Amino acid sequence: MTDQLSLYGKTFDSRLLIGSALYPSPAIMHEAVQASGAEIITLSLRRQMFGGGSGSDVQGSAEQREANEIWTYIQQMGLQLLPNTAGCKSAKEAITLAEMSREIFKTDWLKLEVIGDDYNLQPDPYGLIEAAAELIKRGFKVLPYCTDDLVVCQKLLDAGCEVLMPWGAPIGTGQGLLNKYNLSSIRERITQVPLIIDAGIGAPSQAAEALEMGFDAVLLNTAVAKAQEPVMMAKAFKTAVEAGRLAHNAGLMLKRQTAKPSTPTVGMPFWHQDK
Amino acid sequence: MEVLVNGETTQVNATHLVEVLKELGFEGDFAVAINGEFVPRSMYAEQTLAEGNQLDVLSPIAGG
Repeated sequence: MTDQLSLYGKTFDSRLLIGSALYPSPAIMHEAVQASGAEIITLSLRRQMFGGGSGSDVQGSAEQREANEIWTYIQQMGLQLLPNTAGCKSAKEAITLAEMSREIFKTDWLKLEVIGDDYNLQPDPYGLIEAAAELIKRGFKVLPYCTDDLVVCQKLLDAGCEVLMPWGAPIGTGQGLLNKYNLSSIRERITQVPLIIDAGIGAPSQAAEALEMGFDAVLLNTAVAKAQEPVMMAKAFKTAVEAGRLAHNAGLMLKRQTAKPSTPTVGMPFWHQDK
Repeated sequence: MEVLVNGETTQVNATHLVEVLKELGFEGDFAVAINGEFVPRSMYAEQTLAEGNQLDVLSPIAGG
């Protein structure tokens, strides 16, 4: 196959990037990620629980054990790690977390998130651009999670980003591609770098649509993790992303206002011939 | 001395970061920030903590 996704000089067969959070169990996460065929997985950093303050043995708490189990599974899978800066609300916080991620995960890849509003977890474009510029100077490969604003996208390119990840809809909403006009404008104007739809995708049909529109890949988590059957849904997304990409490459027909018969009209028998 | 460890007020005896981490029992993969500034692993031995410092010790978790 020559139709590969190329990000920061690395190539991938899969156009689906997947998150590791919110699954019913670490084992189901592991199985779903494998079923999805994804080669890039997102993960994060949080405060490690410790026994020092309260004196209780939280080191062995269920939560910490689950985090350790997920991390063990992720290491075994050998995928490209894409640590995020989820929860950061300023460039400074995101930069510190990025440095910590790079040390632990031994990768300079980063899903950069700088959140500006708690209600819809909308990226703060000013903090995002500021953090992206600084992190690129420090050698990070920044994949910024941004809004579907063309000018913000262009400023992120100016900052040195070689991939952009505009949202389809707010994180975890499953609303799909809410502003297709904005998204298609971005795709039409920005052809020099890969574009990944990140967040808001709830159904495989929406993922297929993103690929049909010419987006290079999709990144999602909740749609798979919160499905009734996450492993089955992971397969559904894998298939949908492949279908969407094939459809894009094949070239969609042009839409028409009026009907046009698909069956040839030449040599029609019987009907309507006695006009 | 009293320091803020992962948001909790905590008494520690050691002053050097490498000793403090051992004293508090942190293990596995983690990275450290003091007062919001990243401290690379190579600095653990010489880095010291002062009264009231904010120590963050972060470990891998799932993420989207």
